This record gives sequence, C-alpha cells and structure tokens, in this order.
Amino acid sequence: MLSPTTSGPLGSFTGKAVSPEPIQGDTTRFSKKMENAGAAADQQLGDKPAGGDCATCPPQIRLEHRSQYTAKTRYSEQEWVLARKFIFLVGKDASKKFRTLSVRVAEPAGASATWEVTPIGDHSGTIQKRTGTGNRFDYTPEVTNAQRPISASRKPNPPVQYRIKATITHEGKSHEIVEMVTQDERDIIRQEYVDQRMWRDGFTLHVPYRTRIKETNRADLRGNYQLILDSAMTELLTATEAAYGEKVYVSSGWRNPRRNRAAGSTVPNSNHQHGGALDMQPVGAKQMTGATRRAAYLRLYNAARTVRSRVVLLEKGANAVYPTSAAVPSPTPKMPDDNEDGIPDAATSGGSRVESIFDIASHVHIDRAAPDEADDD
Amino acid sequence: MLKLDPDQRREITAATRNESERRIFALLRQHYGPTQVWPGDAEALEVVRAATVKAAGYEMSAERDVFKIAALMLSFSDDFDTREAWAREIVAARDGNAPIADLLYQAGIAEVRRYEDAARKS
Repeated sequence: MLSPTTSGPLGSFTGKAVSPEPIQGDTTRFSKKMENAGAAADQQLGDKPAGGDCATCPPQIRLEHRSQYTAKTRYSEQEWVLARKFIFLVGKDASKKFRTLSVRVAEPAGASATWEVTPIGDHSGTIQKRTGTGNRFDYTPEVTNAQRPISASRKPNPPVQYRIKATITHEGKSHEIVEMVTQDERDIIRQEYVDQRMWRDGFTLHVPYRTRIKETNRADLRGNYQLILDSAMTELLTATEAAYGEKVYVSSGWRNPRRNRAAGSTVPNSNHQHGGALDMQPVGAKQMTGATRRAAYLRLYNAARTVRSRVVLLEKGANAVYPTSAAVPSPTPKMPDDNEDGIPDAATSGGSRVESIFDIASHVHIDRAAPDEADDD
Repeated sequence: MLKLDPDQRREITAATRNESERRIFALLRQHYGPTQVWPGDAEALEVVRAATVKAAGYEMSAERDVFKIAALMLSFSDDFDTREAWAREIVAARDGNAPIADLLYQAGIAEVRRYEDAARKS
C-alpha cells in the first residue's frame, strides 16, 4: 500500500492511507466509494436532524476567541469569534509587549474550564503560562528571532497555530473539547511585518491592514503567497498601462519582506514591500535591441511619468541610472534624432549619453509612499 | 396536551439521538467498513458522535451532513476542517451559516482522486 505522506508531489496529501491499488480484490477506487457513500447518505438520511439535547449526550460546547484585531470593527462585527473566524498576530506590538490572545467558553454560558494551550511548531513560539482555569483564559505567546527568521526566502511562512484544550464540567460531568486556531494567509503575511519590525534594524513599515491584502489573477504581482499586499501597485500599473497604451511586463511587483531580501534588496523599507512599487519592462523587451529597445523603454518611462507617484526611476538592477523622475529632452533641429529612438543623439546626462543609459536600463521603477497606518502595529 | 417532565423528555431525546447515531453509523459502516480507513466499530461510533458535535459547531444538524463530516474525519483526520487547506478555504468562504458539508465532501473526494491519479502515474 502506498503511504500518502511520503515523497514528491504526493506529499501534500494528508489523508489516511488511501491505496489506488485493489484491496482484497476490490478494484473500486476509494474516491468512487466516497461518491457512492455520499449519494446513499443523500437518499437514505436526508434532512432529519441528528442529535439534540439528551441526558447522555455531551452538552453543546462553544468556544470563542479574541485578539486585539477581532476587537477592531473594520475586521470583525463581533469581538469574540469562533475559531474559524479568528484573526491574530503574535509578537511584540507598538508598546513593546507581546500580544495577548484570549479564549472563553461561550456555551454553556458562564461555564468554567480547565485550559491548556499548546503552540504547534517552533515558529508559533512558546507560552510561559499555558494552563489555567476559569470561563476565560488569556495566553501570551512569546517568540524569538530564531523561531521566526526574517532572512531571505522564496517560500511562504507557515501559519502560527495553537491547540486549545478545554475541559468543562457541566451538570456533574466532565467534557473535553479541542480546537485549533490557525492564522489565515492574510495574517501569515501580516506576521512577516511584525517579525521584521521586531528584529530588522531600520524597518519602519507598518503592519499592513488586512483589507490591503487582496486576491489577484496576475502572477507577476505576487510575492511568496497567493494573495498580494497592494497599497498602490495595481492603481499604478493600471494608470501606466493606460498611458502606455498596452500591457507592460512586471518584473517585480509586491515583495513580502523575506522575498524582498531574496531579491537582493538591501533597502529595509523598500516600497515593494507594501505593494506600492513596480518594476516594469516593455513586453518583449528581452528580444529588442538598439533603437527599438530604447524607444520602447522611453515610451514606458514617459508613460510612467504621467502617473501620480512618488518617483519614477530608470534603473539597472537596483541602481537608478537616470535622474529621478527627470524628463528626457525631446529632439529639436539643433538636437536631432537621426536613429529615431525618440532620444536626441547627442543628449547627455551626468556625463553619459542618454541613449547609452537607456541601452543599459533593465526596468522602469514607479512607486508611492507607504500609507501611514499604524493601528495594527 | 400531553406534558412530559424533564426526565421523560431527556429519555425521548436520548432515544432519538441514539437512533440517529445508529442510522448514520450503519450507513457509514456499510460503505466504509470494508475500507482501510475503518478504525473499528467502537471508534467509528465515537467518530459519528464527534462529527455530530463538529457539524453542530457549523450549525448543521441534518443526518446526511453529519454522515459526510464523519466520512471526512475517517478519510482524513478529526481536524480535517482546520488542517486541510482545501477545507479551510471552504470554511473561510462560507456565507453566513450556509450548510457546507456537501461542499467539503465533494472537495474531499476531489483531493482523494487527485492523489489516486498521481499515484497511478508514479
């Protein structure tokens, strides 16, 4: 029998052993058995309610969770939420104290529990006081730089997770309930900014609002995650493409902080990290040469300059090669453009011919300043 | 009108509950009993009870929903709804208290099929 938890692309399958091979001569696939079983349940069981109150049944137990983010009305209608709606970050906040999370017994109302909270994985940190009693339990995960690395990476961080066990005594009987609270992708992304703020010198970007983390169908805008942080990026891109008159290729869009380092950036607060910057190339630029290439880059550079932004840079790698946001002179009878690339043949900047500068450019960079949103820090 | 005292009511609801559990368990055993995920009758009955509680947490009480939750717990794990990315997506995208047992079940089947297809090719 194959073990589904081993090797290669199958490793992502976390189900119990499900062999594609016949079992005891039965060649029906397990997935087919599941289909048949589901159809039988629909036909034979239907909508009859299962369970209900009874003396021998466990009571309805409902736990609810709270963080400083569920308490924000922009994220949650209720301060206390079920585990599947729980949003949270760990680590030190703006007051330099570790964030505290809370759990309570919501049903049976007022019931008291014995609590035990267990971090899942080193990256979830440690909890000094992870047991307690009462209707409500507050726990404060503490994390270290070793547990939450901020080094270069092109892989997504795993979610912070806690296993919460509550033992509740109700009507003379003891009942146990176990729940997991797990960061969703928005909070996994936000957690990177908390980590950077704790340990990276000079990192001052705020923890992004959840509402700024969005879905996209453009793979070239993504960092290490399916979702992107977008404070201005798609607005800049849309406006540039409108001015340029066609699609552009984005060589670098949002970079989550760890990917920013993997991309070789040494700038702690690179605007790429809050989704406020783009590196763009004309589509097909790699196949272009000479005047054709220069003309395409000039057109893109000029299109970007018409967009409301902080700066537009012509860059080679991480270095600006032309003065920030500066106009490129237009050809005149005295400054002719014989090779028809749109740049006067004799124009210079900083002692170099402007044409040579456009020849070596690798992309046009455009960005906006990071939003001043410190509420979630 | 017939009035029941609390003890009588508890007896009746307990009987209903047991009957319901037995129905779900019997169908589950019929389909999953001969497979490698069946943990034995005693444990499987516990899974049905846990599935009832889990389904109730999602405000689903229909027997067929409990059946599907129990089947997924058998095929994946007791905490499949928080452990599995495909299940988490469905839970996160849930609109209000809409029943999601069938969505989860179909996604579970698709996940198993994906694994089976890949395993056959390898």
